[in-house]
Amino acid sequence: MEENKKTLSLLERMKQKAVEQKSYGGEFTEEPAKVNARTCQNCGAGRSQQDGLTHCAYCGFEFLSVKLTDGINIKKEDNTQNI
Amino acid sequence: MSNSLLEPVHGVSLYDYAAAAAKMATGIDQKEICKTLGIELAVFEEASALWVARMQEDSTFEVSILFGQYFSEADKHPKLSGLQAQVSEEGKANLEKMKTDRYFYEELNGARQAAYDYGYDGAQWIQDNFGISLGDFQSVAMKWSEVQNEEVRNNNTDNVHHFIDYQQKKQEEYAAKFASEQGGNVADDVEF
Amino acid sequence: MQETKERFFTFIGKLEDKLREFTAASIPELVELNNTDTDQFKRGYHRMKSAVLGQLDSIQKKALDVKEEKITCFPFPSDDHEISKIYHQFRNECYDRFFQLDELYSKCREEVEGTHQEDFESKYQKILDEYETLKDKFRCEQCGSPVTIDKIYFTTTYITCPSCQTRNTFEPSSQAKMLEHIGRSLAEQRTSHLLEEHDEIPQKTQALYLQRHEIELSLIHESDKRIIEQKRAQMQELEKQKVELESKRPALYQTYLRAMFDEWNKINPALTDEHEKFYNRLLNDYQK
Ligand SMILES: [Zn+2]
Repeated sequence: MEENKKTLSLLERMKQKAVEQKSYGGEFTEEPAKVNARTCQNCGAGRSQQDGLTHCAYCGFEFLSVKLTDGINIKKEDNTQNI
Repeated sequence: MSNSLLEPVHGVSLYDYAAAAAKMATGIDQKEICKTLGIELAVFEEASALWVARMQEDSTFEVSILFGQYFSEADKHPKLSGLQAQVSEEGKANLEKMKTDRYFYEELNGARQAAYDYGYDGAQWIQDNFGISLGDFQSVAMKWSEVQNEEVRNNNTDNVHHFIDYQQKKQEEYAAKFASEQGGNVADDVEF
Repeated sequence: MQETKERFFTFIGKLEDKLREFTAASIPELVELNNTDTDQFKRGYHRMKSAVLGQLDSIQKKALDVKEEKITCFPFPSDDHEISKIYHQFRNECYDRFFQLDELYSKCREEVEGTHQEDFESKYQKILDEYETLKDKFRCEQCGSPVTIDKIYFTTTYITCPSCQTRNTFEPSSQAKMLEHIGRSLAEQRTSHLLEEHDEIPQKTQALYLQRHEIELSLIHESDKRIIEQKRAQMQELEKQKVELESKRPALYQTYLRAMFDEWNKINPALTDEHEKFYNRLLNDYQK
């Protein structure tokens, strides 16, 4: 009986410590899905389908400084063509 | 580049991806990393998912091995090296010591393991007590494990064992400290 | 030596009681924490589990240390052949006793590990439910026309407005970003019975082998020709069953792997090509 009590109080302390401790990286917050649209910070133009994703079709501003390859949903064709 | 699995994804190289992972593990925001690499989140997330897939596809483990190497070289990355998390003076000094003093590294390694064994989040414990982030800790650990592998290759097992024993000893010291803080171990009253 | 042995056996017995008692007391606590921890990664539960395993380790280590000190290093005059023989007998018995504790320790660890349960079905269901509520909810940032999210995305992506052609950026929720990861775990969970079938084969063939071996032994003292023939036939039959089972093993692995990847592809079809390459790699590794 005495034995059992000791084990339980040890477990109780262990549990308290486990639960109350701060986790590395802090609380995880669940972010909801969202939609936004980027406009050119140079001339204010939006990005439309036929203009591609990498550059502004109007002033040539660089949205993405990489060359897109065939990925999951983003494809090679999404590179801005007339630059 | 002989291995086609090492071709960049959307212009994001394995080095970019590994250094980004290391920087995020030191607490740098993903948005900050994307901005520095000149890409948007959509590009980064696709590249990340596809780099994981490349590692799964690769039976030679070349991609994974290189990932580890690049991860520990994040501070030499041409673009991302500039991104530094806020580190205390004490943390900086400890990190430097961990890089150069193998005994100190082994001590922290043992302490971290003992912390987990006594219900602490070992990564958080190292952060709280030595000011070293998980990302920095992992980077330095990878470097020392390369040193150790090299020793194994050169049959310098005496040295390997010397440090394993040292780590073991330190782990026991920290374990004893944690044990007394929690009021002892469960079988303390059993004597031979 | 006799006295040391008795004390050692009692000591090990007490530690075994501790192992049993502590494991039995922690399991309900761990199960409860596993169910109630609301953290995304159940980090509180994992810390507690790690601490419980740490205590089991401390018991095993205590036994190991005493074994080293009192048994392995038991002082005796090594030049005396008789005593040396007795010592080895004593040592073996104590070692055997220690191995019993060690086995119990492994069993306790497994039980503690077994409290870890993750409900991947419900995590996946949440992603599906969320998709139903959000697919028609968004509007184009540029012109305000409805923008349909045409499928479940697990990475941020660009969706074109059907009215004004603007590229909107759609960022999935944190839980949807886990789809690829949850998908694999769920696929493995759903097909684990097939993997078990594969994993059981060595055990089954071993049983057949033992059965055959026993008949073989019984033949030694058999003189009745008819019975000998009967038993030989039985042995042949058992051997045939064993060979058949063994030959089925690779096919069972492939069945499992195919089923697992089919499930994974169903859950996250966007990475089907990548999954297939992974599938081929695992199959090649297995056949090597
Ligand atoms: Zn512009």
